[in-house]
Amino acid sequence: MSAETIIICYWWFFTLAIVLGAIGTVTFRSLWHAALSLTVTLAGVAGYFVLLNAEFLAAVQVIIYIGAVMVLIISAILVSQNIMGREIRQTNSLVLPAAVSCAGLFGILVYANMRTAYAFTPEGSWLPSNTLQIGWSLMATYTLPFEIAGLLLFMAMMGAIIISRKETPND
Amino acid sequence: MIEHSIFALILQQAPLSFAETMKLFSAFVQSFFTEFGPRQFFTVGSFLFCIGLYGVLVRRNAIAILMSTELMLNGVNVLFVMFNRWWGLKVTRAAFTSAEQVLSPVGQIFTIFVIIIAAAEAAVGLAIIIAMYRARKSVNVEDFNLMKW
Repeated sequence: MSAETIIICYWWFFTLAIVLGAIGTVTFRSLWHAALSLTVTLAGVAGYFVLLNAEFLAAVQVIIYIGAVMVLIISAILVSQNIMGREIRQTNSLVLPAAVSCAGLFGILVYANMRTAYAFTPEGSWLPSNTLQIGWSLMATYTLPFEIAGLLLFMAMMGAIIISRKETPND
Repeated sequence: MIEHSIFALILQQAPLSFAETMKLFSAFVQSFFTEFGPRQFFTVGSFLFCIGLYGVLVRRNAIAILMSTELMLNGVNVLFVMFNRWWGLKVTRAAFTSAEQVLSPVGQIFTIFVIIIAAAEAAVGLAIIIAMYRARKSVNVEDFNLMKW
């Protein structure tokens, strides 16, 4: 097998994980199962990042999404309902119009994608490494957004603590 | 506004007959087995966005809606990284190297910021959901209609 065939095989593996996980996330009745299939989707997206020469982002995806956000979501599911119980009905009355409009949007995107002749710019490389270029950009060109993102995360953390705190009569 | 949208891109092109469209479509499907390029990643990224939108519109559970927004954000992330892979701007003098034709990581920087915002959004959103669960003993969005109308 040529190298491209092997890459296409990997692509299909990650694509199946992403597509099946996404379908499971929006259709499973049990929230616990939906959260687990969302984890499968996020892992598939991390695999995509490796295929797209973005190794640093693959690590970030695994650490932040699978490691932090999914733990948050699963613990919220744990405290807010009985996780093994199946909810009676998980969808509202908009199923048909929502499905039609979303399928229509996907159809438009696929049609535009199909009719576009992609013109490539010449291939570049990540010298000396992808991670070094990202770190240099964050510290040199995008310093202010980086600092603001840190401030935003701090404010989000304080806000989450204050909102979800149990209120005592002494307050 | 409309002349820069994807609809205008479609309308600008010459209309195809049905047979031509089907021929194009079969070539499109075949390219998934023979090519490794932006077309395939674009399809999967837009699929993730559309199915996340469907989940946001349809689910009743607030946590499930939050998970569907994560799906939409991931679809956008796939597109950002894909466009950076094939259309990344070249900087002639990159940091710490004398090589030319080095990719600039602008799309990946954007993806990092999207991930940061998603983490903050998940923390605050789940805190709000837990506070609402404490008040109403429910996480269904239909029960949270105090400020509606």
